[in-house]
Amino acid sequence: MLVAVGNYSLYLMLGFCIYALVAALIGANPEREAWLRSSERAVYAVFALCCLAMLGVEVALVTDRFDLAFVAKTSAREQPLLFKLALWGGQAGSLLLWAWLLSLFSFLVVLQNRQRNRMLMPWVIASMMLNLLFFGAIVTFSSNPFEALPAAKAYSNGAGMNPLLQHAAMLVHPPVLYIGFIGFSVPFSFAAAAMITGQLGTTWFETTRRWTLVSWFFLGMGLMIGGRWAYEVLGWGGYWAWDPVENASLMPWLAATAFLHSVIIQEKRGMLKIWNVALIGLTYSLCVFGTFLTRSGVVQSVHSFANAGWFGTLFLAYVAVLAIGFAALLIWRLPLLRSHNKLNSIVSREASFLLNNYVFIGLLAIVFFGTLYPVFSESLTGVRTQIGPPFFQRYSGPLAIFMLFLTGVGPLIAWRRATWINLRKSFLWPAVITLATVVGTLAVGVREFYPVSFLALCAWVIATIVEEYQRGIRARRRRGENSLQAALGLIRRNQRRYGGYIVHLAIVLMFIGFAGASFNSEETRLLKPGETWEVSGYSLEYRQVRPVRHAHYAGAVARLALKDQGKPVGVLLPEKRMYFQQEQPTTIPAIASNLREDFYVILAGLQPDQSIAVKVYINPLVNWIWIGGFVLVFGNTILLWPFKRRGSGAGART
Amino acid sequence: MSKGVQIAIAAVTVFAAVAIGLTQMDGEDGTFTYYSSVGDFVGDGAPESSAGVARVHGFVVAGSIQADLPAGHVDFSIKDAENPGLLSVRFLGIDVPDLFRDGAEVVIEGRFERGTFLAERVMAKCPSKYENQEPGTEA
Repeated sequence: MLVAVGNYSLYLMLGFCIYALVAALIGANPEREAWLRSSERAVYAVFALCCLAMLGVEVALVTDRFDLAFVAKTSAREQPLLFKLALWGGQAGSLLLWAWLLSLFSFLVVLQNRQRNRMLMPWVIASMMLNLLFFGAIVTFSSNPFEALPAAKAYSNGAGMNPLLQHAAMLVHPPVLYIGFIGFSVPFSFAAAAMITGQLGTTWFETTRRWTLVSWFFLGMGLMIGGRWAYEVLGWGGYWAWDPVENASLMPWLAATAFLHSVIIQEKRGMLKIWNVALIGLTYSLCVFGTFLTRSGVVQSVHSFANAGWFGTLFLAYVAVLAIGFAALLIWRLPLLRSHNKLNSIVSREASFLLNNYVFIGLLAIVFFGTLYPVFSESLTGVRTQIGPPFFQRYSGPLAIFMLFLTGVGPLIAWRRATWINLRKSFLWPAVITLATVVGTLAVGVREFYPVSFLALCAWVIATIVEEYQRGIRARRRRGENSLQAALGLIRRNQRRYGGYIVHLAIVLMFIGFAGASFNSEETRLLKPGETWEVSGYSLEYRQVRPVRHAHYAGAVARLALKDQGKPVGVLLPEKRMYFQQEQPTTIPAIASNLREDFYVILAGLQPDQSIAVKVYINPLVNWIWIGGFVLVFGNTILLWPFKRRGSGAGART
Repeated sequence: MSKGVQIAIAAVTVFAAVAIGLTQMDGEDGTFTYYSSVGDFVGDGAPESSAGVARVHGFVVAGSIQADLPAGHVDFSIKDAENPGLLSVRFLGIDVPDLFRDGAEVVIEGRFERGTFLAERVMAKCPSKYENQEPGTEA
């Protein structure tokens, strides 16, 4: 019954999807408006059917239907409810989630645009449905979550979700990332529609501005939550390993960040039209390509779920159709997209935006090359080559430094052409503060090039942001407002500019955290019960080790009392577990964290005489990354806050 | 500003970054690393000791893992999936990855001295991918 309902809703969904696509194309003719309406209703139906299929999978997971291959692989009777519901723990479920989100976003786009953008909508719907058709077909015919196990294999219990995934961050990370990925299908579709209809003004990106911002935000948060998960779960003391699939989500984020900056130039100066369309095409193509990398197993990665040959080929073909189709549209419309304005000066805000775009694309190219190099080299020469983190650090380091510099420069210079007097006035204080930071970091004994320049440039950006706020507030105070009113007024009046600064601040805080990684240190030691280990100003006293026994795992947990410069911090409980079903050990670190550094300890091994092998990582400044994350949420809230436009400044309610 | 100047700026930016990166390359540090298989590594005519850092890919021989915590190392052997030939490895540490176990696919990195591979790093591949085998089926 459940299986039948699930499968039929998938088939019907595909049917309605095709209908919506065809009806939209017919409805593109303004004289056949009724077809467009009909197509829109079909989109509602597609969404409803997708919901039904999702519900079916959830019911199967909650009711322990281990006769279904997907449920047997990713769930187990004793698995906590929340982890049962997290259907993205396996291939079929995560692709269904993708399809469902795509149907949800199609539905929302249709709702938003019932009265607006009548010219664009048929093509927007057609593009969204084309995308959904692909994912719907994959879910229905290749990775079907309702596929039954042969009766002989049906099992009384499932294998359970991979223990590494049974963590709070994993409940949030995949859906958050997916919202980001799939959200870009909306601006992508609008850009395609704009090219097809020749309406190449600013409408397409103004209509989808919120979609773009929200998707960018979710993509960034997804990346960050993934990093947090790696840090807390994988027990290697780090949050980013330049793993191919981490890179797969970083690439669209870089393209999208470039896009968010360069659309501003199109709005203000009517320039970079081609570039903007190309960037949004690139962003969504990279989103899909990233999913392909993750799911196809083409690149060896900890994230790969499965390794099915024709599935990968099909997926790659889809990415190619998407990217080449979009590029073809772009080339066809080149004559319409040429801009009339030119850069007036290299010392202008638009020039700094342009440079910033090149930096992002440069970073993207480096990450792309490094990620796919093993694939190229193996297929061309047959030799397996790996590119390690040093490659990425070498090449991205200088670009990141330049990017930080631009982040500080951009806001301070004028559009069109900056004057020398203006420059000197704006740059004086930030320059002084930057210099002071260089001297300061050198004075505390930091000598390495990267940390010194990163920290100095972070100070530089913060100084410019503070200066910008100060300038605005000062101007408003002259009109009799107090500082708080003035700050709120600034944000309200020019939400994108001042919200954008908060986002920059967030990124800088993260960079401070990244810079800290240069000072990471690690040490391993064998401790007997009662023994105390003095390590980097901390003292770690090993009290005892206790066995742990649960339904699906057993292990040991060590009690370690930690003192920081003699002051008690607390008891750390690093743990080692063995999951029975998967025969997989997991190491659960214990972390004592403050703003200066993290004391990160893992239980590396256990001896019969109760002595334990302990590995300690000291990770300076790492907390600033997560703090930056919270500031990012705040900055984005400002950017997206629905302030009433053109309201009177007085009596602002917030 | 003309198109040419714009393109020049773009090129200079990207190439400056790459050039700075290149000046710091020295090849031996994991920037580009070639794997060899156990067969290639211990095959005929292999020297008793290797020059520089090497990376070898293989599978942990079942039952070969011997951890000596007090001494701070873990001994094991690896072999290829098909070819005969063993490589005995001493990992100079005790914090083996979680996925390191009998039969696990590993990449070891280190130097080869007097017939033993002294591994500085042991990386375990994720054979289970993040999806489990269906119950009742063999890996």
